[in-house]
Amino acid sequence: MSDRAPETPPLPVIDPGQTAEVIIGFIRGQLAQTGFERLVIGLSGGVDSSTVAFLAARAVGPDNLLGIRMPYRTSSPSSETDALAVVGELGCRTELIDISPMVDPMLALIDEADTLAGHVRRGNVMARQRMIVLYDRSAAFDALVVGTSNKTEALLGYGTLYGDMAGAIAPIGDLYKSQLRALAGHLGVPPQIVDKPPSADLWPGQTDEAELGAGYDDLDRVLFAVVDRRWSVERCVAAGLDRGLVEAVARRVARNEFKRQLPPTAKLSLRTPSIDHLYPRRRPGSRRGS
Amino acid sequence: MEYRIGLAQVAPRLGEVDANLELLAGWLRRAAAEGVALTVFPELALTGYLLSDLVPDVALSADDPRLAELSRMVPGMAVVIGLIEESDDHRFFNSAVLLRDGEVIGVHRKVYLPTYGMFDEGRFTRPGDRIRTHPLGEPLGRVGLSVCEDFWHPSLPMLQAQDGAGLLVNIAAGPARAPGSPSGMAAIAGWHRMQDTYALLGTVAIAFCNRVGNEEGLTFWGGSRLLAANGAMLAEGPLYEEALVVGSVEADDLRIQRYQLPLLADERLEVVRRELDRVIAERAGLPTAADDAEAGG
Repeated sequence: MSDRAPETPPLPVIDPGQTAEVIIGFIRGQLAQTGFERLVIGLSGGVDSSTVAFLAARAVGPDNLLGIRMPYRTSSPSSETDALAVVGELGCRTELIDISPMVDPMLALIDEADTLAGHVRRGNVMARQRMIVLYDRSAAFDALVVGTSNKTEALLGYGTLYGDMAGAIAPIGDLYKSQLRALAGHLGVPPQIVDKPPSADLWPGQTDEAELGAGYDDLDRVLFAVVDRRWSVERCVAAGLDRGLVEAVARRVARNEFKRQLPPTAKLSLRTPSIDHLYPRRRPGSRRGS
Repeated sequence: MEYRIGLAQVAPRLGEVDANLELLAGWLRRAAAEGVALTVFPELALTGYLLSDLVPDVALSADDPRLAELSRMVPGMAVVIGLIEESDDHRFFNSAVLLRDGEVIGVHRKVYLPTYGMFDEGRFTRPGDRIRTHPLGEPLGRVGLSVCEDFWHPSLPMLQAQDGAGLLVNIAAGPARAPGSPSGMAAIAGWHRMQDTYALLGTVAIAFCNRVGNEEGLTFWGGSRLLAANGAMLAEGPLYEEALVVGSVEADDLRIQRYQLPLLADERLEVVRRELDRVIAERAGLPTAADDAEAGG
């Protein structure tokens, strides 16, 4: 036996001030490299999109930020209240676009409406419709779409491919949910947004933590150990983490690898995009007008 | 006698050599106005860092007339520039080039190319195979150049200190990462510990110039530092912002420190070499001198 005190699995901490500075610089750098000056974001009233909106407003100024509120008929009214609170705090531009008439004809084609699979299919349709609206508004507003996915949901695959996972840049893609809350507090995101139970709000009463089967702090503790620190399941268990949760999280991370990568290309030529045609995304000639 | 050094922690534009030549020229003019004797630019200041297949597009030779012209802009000033260097036989290196009055005084080709984790340098550039020092002139004598990851291998700076360097110049493109340490990013804390240690153990002044700006998802943190041969911090740059960080190394401090703490003079290089030869042979499974003695005895 080792005489060391047993390890305790910590939550990943950040310095919110320096984190905000890095992300704001990242957003500005991406805009400079692409030749855009404006940003469009979908505002759900949740902590993720609210925090990104605060960062984006600091990066480009509120007048260059367009926050789109896109409720469906069953969306919680508090989502709209909270999204408007963000707009009020930031003084950014905003539009309200009801997606109900856009998605209802599609939802009518889903025959398993009351099953879990039906819920997921309906949720995916809404998430992808919001993507269509955001990209259309980005063309009209001459802006880039800012992604709002965080590291916890990216690792767990808790998002819709080509839906809420779509975006030109991912400012909070390397922040766990628990880190994001710390950053949100630092930036001055209204407390009722930071403290409410996270929900994709795709059907009434839905919460992330019920769907994921654990609270975000527990999930982040496991992810930080397994992903960032490369701990084995046994080491996690020895450190006091629940074996069932660790195994379920590890399986889920592996199962959702496909959501974090471009689709594989069948290699045929001497030089294949994404295999051996390797360039930075932004380079001479890729800026607009260059 | 004081030697004034400027660390120009700039944000080059990725793949845009002409724009970066202008950028560097602007900072050189500022350095000249500040009376700087040596200006140091970061790793790949002329090209940007995440080049991948842009490497052959931005490469130039160390004696490229554009570099000479840049250097001649500031008569008498020594300048260190990071760039992709193409050799006559078309090998591509991540190099630090030292020029003065249009002449190339020295070239260091990055020896250690990080190709792990977030880094993929060995895929696009070739490693250098020389660890040398170059004449900088009075009052510091010789200078040892290195590029970023080279400094994570202590044999390199210690060898340069033994080879007569009074000043070690490391040029870097260090991406900020690993938040959570008391200083914000653990990667920064690691660099500080390393530089402090080299100044102390090498009894040598350290000039570290790290770039700023963003490329893709990476944010380079800056925080350039100038350390005296006793480890005292002479100047430190801001985080994340372009700046010319100016400080002066007092050559007499080098002399005093090396008398007080004669680590360099006491180094047992012949013992180090003998044991190193043995380790190299053993790791390669080759017969060693000790084996030979046993077999013959």
